[in-house]
Amino acid sequence: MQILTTNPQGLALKWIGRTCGYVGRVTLDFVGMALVRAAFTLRILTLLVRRPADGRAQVKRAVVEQIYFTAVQALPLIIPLALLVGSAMIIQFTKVSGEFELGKAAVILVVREIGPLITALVVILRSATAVTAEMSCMTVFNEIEAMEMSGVDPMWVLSYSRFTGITSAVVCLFVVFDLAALFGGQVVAWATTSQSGDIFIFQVAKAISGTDLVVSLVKALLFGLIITVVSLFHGYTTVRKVSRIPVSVSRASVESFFACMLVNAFVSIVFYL
Amino acid sequence: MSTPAAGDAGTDPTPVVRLTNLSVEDTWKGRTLTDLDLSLPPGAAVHLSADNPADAHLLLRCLATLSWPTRGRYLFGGEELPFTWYERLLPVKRRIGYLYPMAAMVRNRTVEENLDYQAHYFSDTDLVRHQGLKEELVRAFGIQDALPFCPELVSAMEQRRAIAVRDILKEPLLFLAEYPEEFVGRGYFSCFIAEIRKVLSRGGVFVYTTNYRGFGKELTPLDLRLENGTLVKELAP
Repeated sequence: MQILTTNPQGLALKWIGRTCGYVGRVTLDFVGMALVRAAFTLRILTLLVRRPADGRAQVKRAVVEQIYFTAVQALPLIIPLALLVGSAMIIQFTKVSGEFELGKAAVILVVREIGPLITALVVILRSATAVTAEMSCMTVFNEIEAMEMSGVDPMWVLSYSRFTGITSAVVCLFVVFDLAALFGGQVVAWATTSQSGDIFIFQVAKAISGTDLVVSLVKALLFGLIITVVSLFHGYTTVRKVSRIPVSVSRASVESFFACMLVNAFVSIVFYL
Repeated sequence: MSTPAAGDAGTDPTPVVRLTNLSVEDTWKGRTLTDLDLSLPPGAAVHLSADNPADAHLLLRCLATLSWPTRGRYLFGGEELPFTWYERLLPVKRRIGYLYPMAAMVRNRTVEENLDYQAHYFSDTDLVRHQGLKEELVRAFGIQDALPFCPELVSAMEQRRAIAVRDILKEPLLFLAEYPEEFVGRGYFSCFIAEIRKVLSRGGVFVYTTNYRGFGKELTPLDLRLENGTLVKELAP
């Protein structure tokens, strides 16, 4: 040991050892974290197949409530946001391309990339935070335990319903966002350029392909899954202190957004590169 | 100790609860119970005491299947419980009533919805019977006025009595209670004891801890004591 601490080579070896140890620990933590989340996701997905006979009325009610909160109540936010984004994109793109293929630009930017991400961001800001806070409170105040003691499966009544509700809502919001953004783009194209509104729509129709629709649907489904699983996971695993609730909410929203960005890039690479 | 005689309705020789060489651990509080051997026949009322109240709490949580044993066997109604998958324990939890200091109601539902939740969840419930029983218990425990409100909007005592009513409504086979006097208050002792008698007459088991010396004497309870993390007065198999 004396040689290791005084000899320069020994110090280097010690540093390498510590670095390797740190990298190993971080890697193991990451793998462990990923496996736990994967197992949790699998538990929710198995409910899609198993569909227990009890509690269906409660689950249906919870799904409807979740869709109402995540999709319907978000419309006054997402429509103006989509109009603004669609308009701003077209304004900028007319300056770059000189009014050439505005529709194609709208499809590439809005439908393929910006639309899914902004939709996910809105859902994270509104619903993921709400779901995490609700689940955290239920965990901290023993409400989940109370449900379990009644023989009620919280994974079925709480998790499955939120998964179904949020994922459906993301898909619907995504369609609304794209339509509103393209409409905003068309209005701006009609108002600020020499081309007529019909040409913009024609360009969009020409540019959009079946792959774009499939990719959009895949992204929306994956985003719904990620947002729900991450929010529920952080909600259920909140340490039993009230002061940990905001920490869980913060972590869930950051993790959801980061995971959505990663998946968005991954899906785009797989389908378009 | 030999197995005590079963209660009036104890025609079924199978113990409601049977623990064999069971160990359970509370990692948060650093408490461990080891080598628990226990057999609770139908109709038995058991007064549990402990040198450390956390140990009694841990044993009751284990009996309620909320804390999972690290070793040993837990037979409920003659069937060994599978502590590997929480879903398989849900039907067992449905038959266990458990009053404990942290017991809660779901806050975003009214007290009445909380009382009805289990009955409406399971498709095999006789809702007419449930409704009749609920009305009777609500009157007996004086929580009629609390029914339309969320738990947070009613008084702490009403909320606790509502939790007691919710667990009695389950018609449990095993009724566990930590300091039941704090749930029902002295004014409703007789109602509570009457309901416990019904549980026992159905062949159920009542296990409780209490700080109130006179509580439950009329049930002629068996004494069970935990010392240094193990049972010293065992109701042995």
